[in-house]
Amino acid sequence: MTRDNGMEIRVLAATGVCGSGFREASLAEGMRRQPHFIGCDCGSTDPGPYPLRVGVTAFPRVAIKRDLRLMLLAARQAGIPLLLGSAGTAGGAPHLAIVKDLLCEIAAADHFNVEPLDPALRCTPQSIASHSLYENADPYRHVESSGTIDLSQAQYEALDDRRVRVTGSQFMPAETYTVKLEGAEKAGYQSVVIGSIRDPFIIRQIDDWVARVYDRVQTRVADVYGETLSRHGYVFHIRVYGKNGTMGPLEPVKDIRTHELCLLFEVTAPTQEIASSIAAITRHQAIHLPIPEWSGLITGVACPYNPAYLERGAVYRFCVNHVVEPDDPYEMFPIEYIDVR
Amino acid sequence: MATLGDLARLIRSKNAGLFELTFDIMFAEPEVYERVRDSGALTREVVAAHYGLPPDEVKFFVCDNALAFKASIPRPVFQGDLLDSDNHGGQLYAPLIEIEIPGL
Repeated sequence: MTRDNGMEIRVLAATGVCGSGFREASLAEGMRRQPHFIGCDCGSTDPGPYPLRVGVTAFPRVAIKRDLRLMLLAARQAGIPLLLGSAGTAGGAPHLAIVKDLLCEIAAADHFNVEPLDPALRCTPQSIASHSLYENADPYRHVESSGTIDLSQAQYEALDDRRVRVTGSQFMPAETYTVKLEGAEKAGYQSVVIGSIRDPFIIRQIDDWVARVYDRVQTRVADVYGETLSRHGYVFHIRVYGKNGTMGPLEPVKDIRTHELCLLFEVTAPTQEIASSIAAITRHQAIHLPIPEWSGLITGVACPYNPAYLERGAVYRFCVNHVVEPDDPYEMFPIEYIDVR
Repeated sequence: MATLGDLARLIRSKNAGLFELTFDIMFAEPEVYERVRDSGALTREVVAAHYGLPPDEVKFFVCDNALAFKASIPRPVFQGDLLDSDNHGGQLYAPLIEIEIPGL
């Protein structure tokens, strides 16, 4: 990075997300370039809404501590800041507390080893340009808290076979500093039934068969619960693996030729007991659902588990995705200084 | 005739935030990238057709300096919601593999 006054700012990015790991030798190699600070993002929405809502980290505590320890010791030895973003996966108060505790543990007692190996990785203009693609809907415009990074005029030039110079990237400051705010909520309690189908007569009419299971289960739930559980008081969903379990409505392949399908029946309800009761109803309705090709009682779904349902406990979903305009950039981020000796 | 799966070094999909999916189609050799780019066989309309979407719902980028194409589409279900089938959005690129590129 080069500021307007021509002063170079060197940033060491140790890893894409704290807890996912990096080679000690790579960090040592980076420190030899005398960075002005070490920066590391600790956040991700890859793990879904669960860590945000429940206040836990996605990577194991030991893995986060390992990365933090190496970065903190390197920063302290060089006398430079270590800047962490979205602490503990989601950046909420409990996540911050976990990372703070880890940093205090590390700061309280440890030593420092550097293994001076030459990392085998290298950067090319193409690899640097490619990185702007990752997880961004638009490769040229990245909107951040204090403005927009515009890479549409960026040039990538090899300095040698390992280093790349980037020029022409622009930063357009936002008129108002903003903070992205995400929230997650409990969606209910879930129970699931896993089953498979091997009968070719059922497989060839699977769409119709699934529609009939939906209908049977909903009718039976209404019989059992009556007014106490409305049709919208629970969510019943069937995934058909071997057909469109992965891609759902985006699946372009409509005709399947397979000898076996895996079904996942999911029930999400206000309590675990209701979810499991509906899952039990589902098992019974699905396995005995008649088809025209056979007369007499059939058992059309193979269930590997007994009881057939699995209780998944509470499940969560994202419920807030807002842009906040704070009066002061720091008002949402209280700062507490801790001196560890 | 060859497919994108034959020609690309990497075809991948991933979440871009909670509401969009993004696809990267990346090449190792400039000549192969240029062959695909100049064939006209990989466009916003072609990507839209492979996901059953109207073309105006697809963002499409030709990235010369990365030897890559990029497309982004709305998620059918928000990430992590009850009916989401792929929380990472990582297995949704498969239809792109089959796109046919004329020549050689």
